[in-house]
Amino acid sequence: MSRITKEYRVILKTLASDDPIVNPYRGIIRSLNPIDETDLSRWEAKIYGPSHTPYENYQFHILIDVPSSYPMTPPRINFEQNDILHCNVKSATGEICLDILKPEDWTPVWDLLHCVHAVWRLLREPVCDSPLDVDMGNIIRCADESAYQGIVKYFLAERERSRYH
Amino acid sequence: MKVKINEVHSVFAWTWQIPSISDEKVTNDKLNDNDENEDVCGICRASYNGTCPSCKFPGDQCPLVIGVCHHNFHDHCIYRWLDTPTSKGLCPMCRQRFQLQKGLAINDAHIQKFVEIVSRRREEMIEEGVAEDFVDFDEPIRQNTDNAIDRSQVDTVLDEDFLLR
Repeated sequence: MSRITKEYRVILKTLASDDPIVNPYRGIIRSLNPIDETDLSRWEAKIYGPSHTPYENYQFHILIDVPSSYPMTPPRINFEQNDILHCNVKSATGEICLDILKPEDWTPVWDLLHCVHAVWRLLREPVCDSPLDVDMGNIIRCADESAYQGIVKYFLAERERSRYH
Repeated sequence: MKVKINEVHSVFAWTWQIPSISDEKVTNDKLNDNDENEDVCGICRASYNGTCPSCKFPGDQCPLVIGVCHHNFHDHCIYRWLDTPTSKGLCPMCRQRFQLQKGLAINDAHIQKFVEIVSRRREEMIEEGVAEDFVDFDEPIRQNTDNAIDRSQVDTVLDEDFLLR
């Protein structure tokens, strides 16, 4: 049985549980599933915005490509286009800059749950030293917390508005 | 009373014999017949006593190997990892240089090929001029004794605070 098939079984069991010991991802990962159950190379995930961040009360949509060489090479993980504003994300494409997802830092003991969790942690702890969105990186570097919060909240409010109108 | 035995059916069970590190003895001695409670290979997530995803028959055809760092994998899984340049010759669990423990029957036939592949990785890195990042590389393999590395230390690498850069 391939590694990704084994993972799928564990993911179903983990995320279905209300027991915080079995499912440490409650309140973090809302869902993680293959887009089409017969093709385990394309996945999607929904994560909750971490509390005490401007992302709180919003959900974010993540798209995951699992290459045939997985787990020797990392999965490719992106946000949906124009889904989020963050200094380590290129908003227009959804591209994420996260070290553990780069081939040179990846290790095959990590799995999809670890990766999605790491993306969630990136929302909580932006890394302004290696920004994909230079403007957002600069705002954080200037330590202008309220400007950062304001811009993100404005972006997300607009996002919701354009979705329902 | 006389008992006449007509037929005898023998049933055998086997398991890889892994030298235990003191506190692990209890769990190793317990016989689990359930895949989910058994120790699994960190790379393919299949049981130690099962096979890697590309094999059909467990046992000598899909052996288990034991690292100096006390991390165990299916021979095929860890070799495939070390065969990728991004592995840098390091253990996927603890990122120390991966070598097999000497003097164990289950490792003996495989030691040489791991020495070779890890040196190949090292040569590649010297060529690229990145070898100095790996201080450990030129030291002789640290003593293949059970207490060379404290397990509680090596496992912390995967703690969640190390997930992000």
